Amino acid sequence: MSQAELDKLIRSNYEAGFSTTVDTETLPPGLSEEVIRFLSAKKEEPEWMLEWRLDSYRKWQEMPSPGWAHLHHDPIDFNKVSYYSKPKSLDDAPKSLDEVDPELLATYEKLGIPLHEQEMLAGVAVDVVFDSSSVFTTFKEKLWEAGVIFCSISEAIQNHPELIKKYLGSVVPKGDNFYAALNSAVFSDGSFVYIPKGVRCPMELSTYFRINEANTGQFERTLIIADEGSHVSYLEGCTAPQRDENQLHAAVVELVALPGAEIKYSTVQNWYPGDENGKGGIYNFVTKRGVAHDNSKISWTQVETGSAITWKYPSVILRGDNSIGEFYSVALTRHMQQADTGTKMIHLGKNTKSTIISKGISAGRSSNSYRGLVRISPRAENARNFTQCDSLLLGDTCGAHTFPYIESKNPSATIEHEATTSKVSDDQMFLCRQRGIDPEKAVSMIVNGFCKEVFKELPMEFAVEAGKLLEVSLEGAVG
Amino acid sequence: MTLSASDLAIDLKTQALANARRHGSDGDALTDLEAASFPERKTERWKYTSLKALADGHLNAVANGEISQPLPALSEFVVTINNGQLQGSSLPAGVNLHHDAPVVNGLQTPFAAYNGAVCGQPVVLEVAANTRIEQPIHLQIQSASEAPAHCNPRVIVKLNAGAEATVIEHYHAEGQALTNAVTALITADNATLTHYRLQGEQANTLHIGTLIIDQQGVSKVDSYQLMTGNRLRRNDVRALVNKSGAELNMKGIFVVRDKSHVDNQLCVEHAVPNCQSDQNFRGLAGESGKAVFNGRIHIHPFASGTNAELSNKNLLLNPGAEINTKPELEIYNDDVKCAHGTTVGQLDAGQQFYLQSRGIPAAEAKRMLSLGFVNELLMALPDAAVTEWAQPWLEAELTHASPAGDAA
Amino acid sequence: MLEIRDLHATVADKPILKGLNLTIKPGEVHAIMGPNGSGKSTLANVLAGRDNYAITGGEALFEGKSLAELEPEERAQAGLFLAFQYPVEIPGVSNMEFLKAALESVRTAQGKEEWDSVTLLRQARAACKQVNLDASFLKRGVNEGFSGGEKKRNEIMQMLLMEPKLALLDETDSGLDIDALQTVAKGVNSLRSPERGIVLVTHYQRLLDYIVPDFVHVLSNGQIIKSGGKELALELEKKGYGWLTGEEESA
Repeated sequence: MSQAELDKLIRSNYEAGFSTTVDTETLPPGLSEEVIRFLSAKKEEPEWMLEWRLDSYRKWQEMPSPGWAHLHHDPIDFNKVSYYSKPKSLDDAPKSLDEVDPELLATYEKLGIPLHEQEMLAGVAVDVVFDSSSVFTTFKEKLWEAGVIFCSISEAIQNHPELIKKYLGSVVPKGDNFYAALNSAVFSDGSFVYIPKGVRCPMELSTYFRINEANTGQFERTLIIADEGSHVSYLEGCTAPQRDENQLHAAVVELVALPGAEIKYSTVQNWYPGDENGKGGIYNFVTKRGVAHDNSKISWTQVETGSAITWKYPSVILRGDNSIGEFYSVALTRHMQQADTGTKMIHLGKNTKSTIISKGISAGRSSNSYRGLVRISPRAENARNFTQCDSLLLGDTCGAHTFPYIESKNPSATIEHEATTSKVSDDQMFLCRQRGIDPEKAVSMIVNGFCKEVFKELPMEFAVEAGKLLEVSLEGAVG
Repeated sequence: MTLSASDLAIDLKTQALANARRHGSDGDALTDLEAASFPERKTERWKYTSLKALADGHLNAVANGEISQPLPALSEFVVTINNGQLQGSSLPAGVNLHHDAPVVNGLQTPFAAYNGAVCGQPVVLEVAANTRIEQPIHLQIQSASEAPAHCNPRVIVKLNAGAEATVIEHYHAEGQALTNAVTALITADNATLTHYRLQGEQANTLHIGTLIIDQQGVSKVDSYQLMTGNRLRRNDVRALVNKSGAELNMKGIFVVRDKSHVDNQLCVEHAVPNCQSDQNFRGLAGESGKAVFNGRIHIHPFASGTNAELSNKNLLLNPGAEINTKPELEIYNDDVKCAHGTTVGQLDAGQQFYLQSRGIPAAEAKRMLSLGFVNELLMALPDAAVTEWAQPWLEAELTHASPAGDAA
Repeated sequence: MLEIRDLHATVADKPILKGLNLTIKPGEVHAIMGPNGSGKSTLANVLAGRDNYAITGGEALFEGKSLAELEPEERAQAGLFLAFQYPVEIPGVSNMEFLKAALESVRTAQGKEEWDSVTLLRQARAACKQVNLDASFLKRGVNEGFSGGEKKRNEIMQMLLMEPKLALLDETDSGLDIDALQTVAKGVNSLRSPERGIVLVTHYQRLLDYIVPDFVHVLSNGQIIKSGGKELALELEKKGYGWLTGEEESA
């Protein structure tokens, strides 16, 4: 395919790039113990929570920011970020959708996330986080009947302190890494899920994250606990307005799969990626990790097309015997985007199994790296890993890199890793066009085909959305 | 007394600089060493290899022991370098040994910088243009020292246009010697080089080596790198495939046992269009051996039409052994064919059962299969003299590495 | 429907076609034969608009329109179909998905009614059956892991569905065993109609036993050096290409 055609294809618009005018209460930029105290007080948090945050903050202050990823950006001034922003209209938490600010509802409608229960896709409950605050959780009652707790993490701190105390930071400790420590200090809101023993969650759970305010950081914290023998599928979507400044997003997601439980966590991440000259966009530094106990399964599926910078390694600690970890990823970068993403599979238990399928697509002047770790500990008898890492390059000004770390200390383990690099070949394009398919559609078909193994892991509605997202990301001015 | 890794790094550098100044080193060599930093705990390229063995003071003394078990000659043409000093040579017509070393491109490690600052007389083997050397040239690089001490052999093999030669770079060390070697292979247009690197130094020795393959011309280089572990073995191999049409093949075998350690860091740089490289390495780790393999393919922006592949297969023979492998791709051009594959596993249970069902004891079956795993490469070596020497050597190592009677 | 006048074309800047003339009317079946390297496949690819295949002189008119001005997909929409000599694999894109996109584009452009998915599936299954291809191939990636024969039958299956006005078959017989050859021929014959032109590019006469052409042309060194009826193919089979290229030299 010619460079001109490619250029046309990768120059497209960010459809979620509008911003919303909502009266907000936003803390001036800057980070200090006072800010954390203010934030905690605003949320009327118990003393132990404040202490937890302050301890994290102190740890964070001692830590250097990580420099090992294949990413280049100016140092982030953490004092130029505002750590709290909340729409004023949420001051008294809405009891029903009628009480939610119509501007906010309109925002989510524009994003294709209708909050009105009757309009919603059957069987998907949604928690929505707008800047720092949880807006509303739908289908609460129905979930409550099944014993499922699905609420904002702020509510959980108030209403389920025993679960929070036990599990918050149990998978990603406060001082785990620079960005996790920062999140632990200042996390604003996020979702909390608890599935009781033996319960199959009656519907898909979903959270939409939206950064709206300029200069605001979003630090959401998600904690999902699947008790013994339970099952849950959780979807996460993200968007942000188109702004010239870089915005910081440093989230932490912790998953706990108790014996026999299964957690499926799917993400479609479409934060604003910046323009074609690299101006603006979200800096996305995310720590996602799950612990899988005996006979449990954790599956991460992600489709990432957004963010100026992505630093993200959804991981599974396969602690229990016979536990399973999966990672399915599509990461598309274009313009000046930089992604350093992958996974860690830490095999501790016997007969543990992990599968990694990573599809990287690079276009424009972007840089797309897969970084993965497969570690087999000495007692992980019969552990198995299979990894397939494929890169697709669109044009010759982008980069595609693969950094898989493989460490084995058990002779009965079997690890297989394969990686390939390819491009959309002229022959493929010609075959499609000879059959009457226009070049834009042809590229998007071929790229979708390249990603098929990952898309098939997504829940139906999300798979459609992911396919469209890729199409939009690759779409150019028609001509 | 135990030193922290960063204290050790500072110590090593101080010692290296003092040695270099005492040696009278100056100019670029000294500047390079001054600019070099020795690895610390967080240094990515040294993630799996600790230098704490060097705290024994290898850099404080120069190896000058007697070689008690010198290598047998594998060819009628031999160059012997003992403790870093040229001992003697017998060479065919068309090969000129001199000491007027060209600048070696692509050196990166602090140890290579140190070698450059103190090596003294590098050995340069230059093969005349359009000359075909039938017999291999056997480079015997030996060191010995009862107490911790080091030496710095530096060898440059240069094939002029149209030259064809086979070079066997063969290491042997005794006692507690540290061999800090730098080897460069430089090929001009239409040159054909077959290169062997045999590393079988004794258990308590250390080897830190840099190998540069600099394909300045449209040339073909086949490099076979066979090694066993010792207290510390670290190889930094960097290939610069620098002229369109050049072809590089690297194959290797590493076997670690006891508490031995091997760390191979390979990097193939494709900087120009239409070159080809293939890497195929097999590793076995038994007992408490630890093997590290890092194979990087780096395709620069203009290197369209590159065809580069890497395969690394490993066997972990028993609990206590360890393998860390990382095949890397760094690609800045879309018009390339690049792939890598890695496996870490155990001997095939079906094959093992098949042998046992024919009456072969479990331990013997394991040994046979381990040997089979490396034989594929070993049997394909183009020089029979090398195969004949290497086979019993690796076989002995493997017999040791397979746990006798353990039918896990 | 196809009018080629003094066509000159290059492949990657190397001249291959050097003044080729050919007229094809609706309902006709033409066979283009010739030794290796004579430019047969080049002709098919130039007509379909492959990259790097450039028209440097003369013209090729399809229903009065200059092909040179059309993008490959516009040529397909106009009703021109190329059955590839080496069909490429497109991993992950299912045959069905691919056909849907192709048929949507082409049928819309030709003002034919759009097929809903049920119709499409029914039609596709029927087409598969016609070329002895199991319907499960519709779910597989385009040509992904297909054998040589399966790829060729897949091409004919697509052709049956797309109902082109002019079909160019580029060495469709190469690499086929006799059964597959008959299947393919049956497929092609079923498309013969008074409105449709068919061009068979082939090296061997064998295919022409099953698809009997109205005209046979011999291509050599980028030009048609001899044209005749179906009996010309038999003559070529007997005498080889040498006598013709020789005749050309002495003429």
